[in-house]
Amino acid sequence: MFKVEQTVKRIRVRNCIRKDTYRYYIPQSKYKDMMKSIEDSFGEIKKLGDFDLYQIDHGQVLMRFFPQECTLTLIKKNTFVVSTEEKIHSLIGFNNV
Amino acid sequence: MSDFNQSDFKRNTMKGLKSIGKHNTVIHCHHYNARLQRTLESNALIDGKLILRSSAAKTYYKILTNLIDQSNKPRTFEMAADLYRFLGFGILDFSKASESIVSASHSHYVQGWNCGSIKMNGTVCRPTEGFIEAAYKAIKGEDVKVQETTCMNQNGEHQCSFNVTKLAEAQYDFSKGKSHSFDTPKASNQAEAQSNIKKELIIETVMGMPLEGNNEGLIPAFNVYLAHTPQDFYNEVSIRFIDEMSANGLDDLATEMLVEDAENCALNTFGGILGSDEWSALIQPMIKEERDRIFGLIAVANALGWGRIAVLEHTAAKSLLLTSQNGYEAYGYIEDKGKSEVSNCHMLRGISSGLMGLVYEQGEIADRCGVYKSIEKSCLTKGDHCCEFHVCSK
Repeated sequence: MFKVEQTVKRIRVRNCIRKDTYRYYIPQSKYKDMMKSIEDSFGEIKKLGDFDLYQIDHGQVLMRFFPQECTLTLIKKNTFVVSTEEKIHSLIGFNNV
Repeated sequence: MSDFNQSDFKRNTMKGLKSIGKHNTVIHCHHYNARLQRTLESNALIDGKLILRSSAAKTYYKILTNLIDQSNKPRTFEMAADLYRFLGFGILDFSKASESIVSASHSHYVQGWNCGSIKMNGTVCRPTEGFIEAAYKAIKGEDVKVQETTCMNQNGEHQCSFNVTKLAEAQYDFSKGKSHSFDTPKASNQAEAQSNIKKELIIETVMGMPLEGNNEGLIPAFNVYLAHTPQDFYNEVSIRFIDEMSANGLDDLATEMLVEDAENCALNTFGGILGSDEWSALIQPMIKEERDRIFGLIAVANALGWGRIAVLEHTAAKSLLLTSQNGYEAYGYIEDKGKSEVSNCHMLRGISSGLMGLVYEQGEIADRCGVYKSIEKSCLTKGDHCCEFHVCSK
């Protein structure tokens, strides 16, 4: 039987804005709740133009949501501090060990 | 506050053009802008810094005066700073303009010099110097010379500082050149090669993206920092660079340097695009075979203000034939110099070969550069009906 992935994984993506840019893969069953909790903490999620792509443009980070693949891409801005990443990890259930 | 927004852009989707202040703009990324700057400034035979600063000053002066006189934008430094942010160049602070000091807390140009293999420890916001000169002239009617004294590109600096010196008379001819937008010919209906890519959908979607500077005055999109730059700026920079290099007998070298900058742009910018969320959401679902990626990337390029580019022939990993009906380099050249005996679209030459390297070669970006060669066999500047780029492996 096909085993559904239940843990959050991340990969480093090629990104020329910040080299430490990661894409997080969220289990489908948790994706909507994850978006809601991120929105509650970091502000409104807005649709990006005509794309099936959504984002939060926060003061410290840019978060891109692509529901079709249940991903969240986290792009850090210059004003980013580590505690913000830790908070996001906590909200999406990512364990960085 | 003037608060520029997307309605300040005039769009012409059919021609792939976007204008502001009666000037067509093009989108390039921080890689390309930094590389182009390095090409000019690292050459001891010419004054590349002056070319960049003066080209920016003259171009932005016209845009600012058009926005003030014809679009009823306020004649204030706040308006100029908001335009700078809106276009994606960063955050400028004119609050001490009366004391001849301007500062920047974020900079597109610093991002460009910090992102890759090109490094230097000096000041790098050359076009910003020109922009500030333009702002003083358009808003206060003052001729000034601006020099960046400290830059975030330098270790330990947290802002860029610009010193403003008043001049008794103008240092450049601000009247030279004309404002233009959308005065290029219609895109033609040449028979394009077939693919699985819905080109028009991509162009319309990307052109409709609300690309404008965020709270840092930057435009992070497609995995790079983008900026809207007037076509006239790039044209004047390239033409003057080649002119001055030609005076030293180095015109061929100059054009090849510009081609290489663009090839690197294709590899880095479009490499970023291929891995971006925007690509995954819009274009990836259309990809059925490897060669579709070339068509998808060209569709995106058509939305960047470079003019309308068509793929006429393409054999995967072997050859590519592109045409451009209204490339900004060709029209800029004709406007400035008239007809030419040689082709003049160096940026599109580099882009076309870089795209082939990006899609069909493996390994590090640097290893993919120079694998393919692009020849511009026809060019509008030579009187041909379009610009035609033939790309094949070397």
